[in-house]
Amino acid sequence: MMSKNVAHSELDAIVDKATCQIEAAEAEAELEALRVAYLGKKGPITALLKSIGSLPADERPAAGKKITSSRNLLEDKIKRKRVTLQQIESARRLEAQRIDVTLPGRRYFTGGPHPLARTLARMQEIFLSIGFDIAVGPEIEDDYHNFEALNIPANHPARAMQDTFYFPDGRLLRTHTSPVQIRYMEKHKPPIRVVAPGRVYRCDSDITHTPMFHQLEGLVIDETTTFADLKGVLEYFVAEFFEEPLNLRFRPSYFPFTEPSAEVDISCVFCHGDGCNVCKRTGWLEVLGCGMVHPALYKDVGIDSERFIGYAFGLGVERFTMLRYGVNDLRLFFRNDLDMLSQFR
Amino acid sequence: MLVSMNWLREWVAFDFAPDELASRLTMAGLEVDSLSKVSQCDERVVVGQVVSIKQHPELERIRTCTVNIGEESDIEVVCGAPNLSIGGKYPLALPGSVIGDTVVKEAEIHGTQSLGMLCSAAELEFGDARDQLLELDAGAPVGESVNTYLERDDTVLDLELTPNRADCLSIRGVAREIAIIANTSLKPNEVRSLPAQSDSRIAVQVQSPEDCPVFCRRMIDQVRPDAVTPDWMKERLQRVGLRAIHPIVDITNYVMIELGQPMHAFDTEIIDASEIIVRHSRAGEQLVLLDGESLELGAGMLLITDRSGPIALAGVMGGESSGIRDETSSIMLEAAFFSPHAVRRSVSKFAMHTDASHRFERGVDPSGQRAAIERASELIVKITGGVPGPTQQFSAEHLIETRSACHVRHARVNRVLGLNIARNEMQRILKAVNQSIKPDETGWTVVPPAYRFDLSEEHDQVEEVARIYGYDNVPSRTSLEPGLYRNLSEKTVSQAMVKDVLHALGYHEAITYSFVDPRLQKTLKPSSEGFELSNPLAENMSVMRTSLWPGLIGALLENYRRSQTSIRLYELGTVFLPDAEVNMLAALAFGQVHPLQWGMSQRKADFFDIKGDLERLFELTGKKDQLEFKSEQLEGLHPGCSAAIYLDGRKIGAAGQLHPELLDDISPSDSVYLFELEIETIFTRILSNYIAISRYPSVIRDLSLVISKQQQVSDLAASIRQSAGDDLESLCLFDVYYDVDAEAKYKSVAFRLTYRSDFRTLTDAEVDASINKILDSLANSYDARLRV
Repeated sequence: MMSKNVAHSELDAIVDKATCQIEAAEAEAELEALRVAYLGKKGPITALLKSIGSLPADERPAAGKKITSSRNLLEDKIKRKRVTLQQIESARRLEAQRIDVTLPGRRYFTGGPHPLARTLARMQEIFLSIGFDIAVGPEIEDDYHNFEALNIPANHPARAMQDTFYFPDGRLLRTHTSPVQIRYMEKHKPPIRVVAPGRVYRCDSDITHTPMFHQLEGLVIDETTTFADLKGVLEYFVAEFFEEPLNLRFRPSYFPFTEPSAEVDISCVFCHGDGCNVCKRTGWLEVLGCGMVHPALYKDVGIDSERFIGYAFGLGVERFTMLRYGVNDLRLFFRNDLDMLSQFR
Repeated sequence: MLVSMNWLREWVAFDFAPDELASRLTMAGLEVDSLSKVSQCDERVVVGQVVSIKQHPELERIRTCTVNIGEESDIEVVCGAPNLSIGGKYPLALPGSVIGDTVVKEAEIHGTQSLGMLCSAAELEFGDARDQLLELDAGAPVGESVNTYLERDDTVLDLELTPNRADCLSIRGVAREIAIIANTSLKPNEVRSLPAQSDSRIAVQVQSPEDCPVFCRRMIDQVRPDAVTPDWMKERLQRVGLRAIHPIVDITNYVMIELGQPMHAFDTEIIDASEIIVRHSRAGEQLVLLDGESLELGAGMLLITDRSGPIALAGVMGGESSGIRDETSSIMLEAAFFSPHAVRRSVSKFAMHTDASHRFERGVDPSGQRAAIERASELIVKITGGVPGPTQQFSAEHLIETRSACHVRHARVNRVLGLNIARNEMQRILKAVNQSIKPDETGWTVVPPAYRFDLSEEHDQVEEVARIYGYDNVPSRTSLEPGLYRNLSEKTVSQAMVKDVLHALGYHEAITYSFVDPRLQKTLKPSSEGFELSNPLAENMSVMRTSLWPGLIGALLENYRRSQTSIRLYELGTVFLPDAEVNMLAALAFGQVHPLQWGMSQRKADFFDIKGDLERLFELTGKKDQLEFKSEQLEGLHPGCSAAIYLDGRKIGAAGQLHPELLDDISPSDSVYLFELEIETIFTRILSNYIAISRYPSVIRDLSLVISKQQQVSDLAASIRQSAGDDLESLCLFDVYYDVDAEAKYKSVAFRLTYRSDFRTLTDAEVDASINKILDSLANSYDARLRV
């Protein structure tokens, strides 16, 4: 026969003990065992519930309520403890998967464009964006297109064997991209606005010359073209290429295929005119040649030199590349050393 | 060309500092490459005259001399130089002056008190001579600072003249330009004529007047053989890069530099002075030049000859046998106009370049010969003494090219330049360059001076106006109209896209020479015939490439020697075939596929790496499936690893392993893989065309087969596709295994087949039926069986 107080204190003792054990549980399995032990069919709580029938009728509801509430309390404690244990377990498992994020990333080899090709591509983009067409021509040229049509008479010193590579049949390796001007004019009528990039060849090899190098040639012919436009377009190009406004200096010079002719200096990109080794303390760098198209060039291609006026320019791609990236030896470009190439990606 | 500012000042007055002058000349089209200040010695170095010499009692080389330095008392100096003579004048460094790094002190030398130091040219940093004292003229003012006496306060400009400005190849010519820049005129410095003092003459017969329209000469007799070139002339010659040799030679050089007219002096006691003949050489003739070189002249070279034969290669160099000697006392001075053609003929035939030929080739003033003779005679008589005969001149007036008049339109000049120069200003400019002008309604009729060969047509005058007006003063105009540029068609694959893919695949772009080593090209491509250059720079750069491989192999070797363990290079460029220039793409892969790293094992590139890269490239074009690799034996490649690349049935290139026994420089155990193809084939692509995705599930089956080792897997795959029918969505070869043992007869291959229908869910039974059909067909055609 169980008195009310005894039953109560017995229940409290069970709850206290169970609570202690639940709090102490370290694994889900242990928790499950406690659940079975206390709340299972054979557990003390179930036993107490079964014993309610032996109580006086008026005590039963209160006792039942008390026991049920204790059971719910324990169930809740177990549930919460389970969540806690799961969280701990998850954290442990994830911690075990920790990696060293400072290890090097997985890499494949990657390549990149040759610095000269990169410069050529940039130059072409700049001219394309201001309405120039792009033209190419053969590298093995005939005498007519490389010299004669460009107003370079038969006795001109530029024709001497030491400058030009010849083939036994009289053909030659073009010494400049200017023959593309002639070839373009043979096929197109003004207005003309074109640049011609490409390889050119001269019989010359030392620290500042390679027997092959690259030029970009420009030709514009229209009815209202002037020397002022030539200055404008080159100023625009140089500012776009170097991405800074540089001073340009146009100096009178001589080319057989232009008149007036000019050589163009830009203020030194390294010292900005203060004078350094690169500009030989002059503050200026000679970067291109240009001028108004000599009327003699129009004759064979049938352009009316009274109606149309043109300008042309030619620049050295190697020179621009060296200035842009600080490359100090021209010959590096054709050695294709990966230690150099891999600096341009 | 070097010019001295002091010398220029003799011809024109100007206030420009050296830097200013250099930049003004540069902007006028006479580019100044550099300017250098003439070195000066310490101001306390003065002209001293040796009064007496005393030999040191014991030391043979050491002498003590008394030197007059213009002070009340002479000073004693110890000296070891060999060229010391009584009465001689030398630079004397007084105590306290700095010579090189040392300060000259009063010192006791070998027992004698020395109060200064007599100096050599090297000690003063005036020249290279260090074993001898610098000897000064007898007329040098004793006690004067040597800097002042030698006018060392001077700057030398190095002009890089364009070939059209031959008129500036002289002090006078540059002075003319300075006068224009400074808006002044030349000093009234024109050459005086020196009257004849004898009737000594020499007959001349010009047989080739078209190549020598003017021939001017003068006999000068009784020249003093012991005369020396004065200090001032030596100094000036040295500053413009010429060494003093002999007074007569120095004077002709001096006049050439000053007036631009090359001259020559012949010793008339050696030549047959009865007649000088200017003519073309005949086959078999020879001439030994001043520099000792003997020329086989051949026919057609312009010569100055006497009756016995050639005495000078006209306009280039004189002959050794007729040149000025130490004992020369009678000379013929010669100044001529030789045609640029004639001189260029000799220059290119003999590959010679002299100061004279440089000027004749570009054109000298055809009216300047007499003035040069007069100027040189004046100097000769003054310096070496001598009795001049009359100046004699042959001239074929009708053969002298004269400057013709040209009409210049005011409006046209402004139109070309984009300027609005007023008429009177333009007229001032045209006149400023010494042209005679006659105004009319639209402009002017202009006649340029005789020495301006570059001015003949209106556009030449446009340049002249722009040059004098100043290129800097032309405004710049940007009228960047929308142009001809059109975006690339989407059906075009740009070069940039191709490059991007190659870069992502690890290839670096190379740019190699278009001419290659013929031996390497022959080794790689025995059947190719590259164009041979007539004048290559070197044997290994003498043949135009017919393939990009030789260049890439060269770049490979460059990197291989630097011990790179992974090399991937490509080049886009032209090859030169007998009938066309063709654009090719070639690439090369050698060594490790991945950088050395943790978590990925090292592996060397093989054929299937480059094949995969090629397939990736052709994905750009949408034509990957039309790409075919056929086993063909190709030049330069390993016989067992060589494939022709076909696109849509057309052969477009080659891929494979570099033949391991071709190149000694590469170890046979290092395999190099290459491909090359016509780049045009990548530049067009098929636009993507969407195919609806099936809503039904796929069924996957793996087949592991054993087949003959020789069997090409591609045939097998084709057969599978054919037997499987339309529901085979994809076929993937995921394993190939064979024993490397050469005796092994079989290999096993494994395919994954993915089936899917666009219309319904496939049943296992359907797929099984298809698999069985495939197996039957493979068993029949290829003797393939399932691996157990």
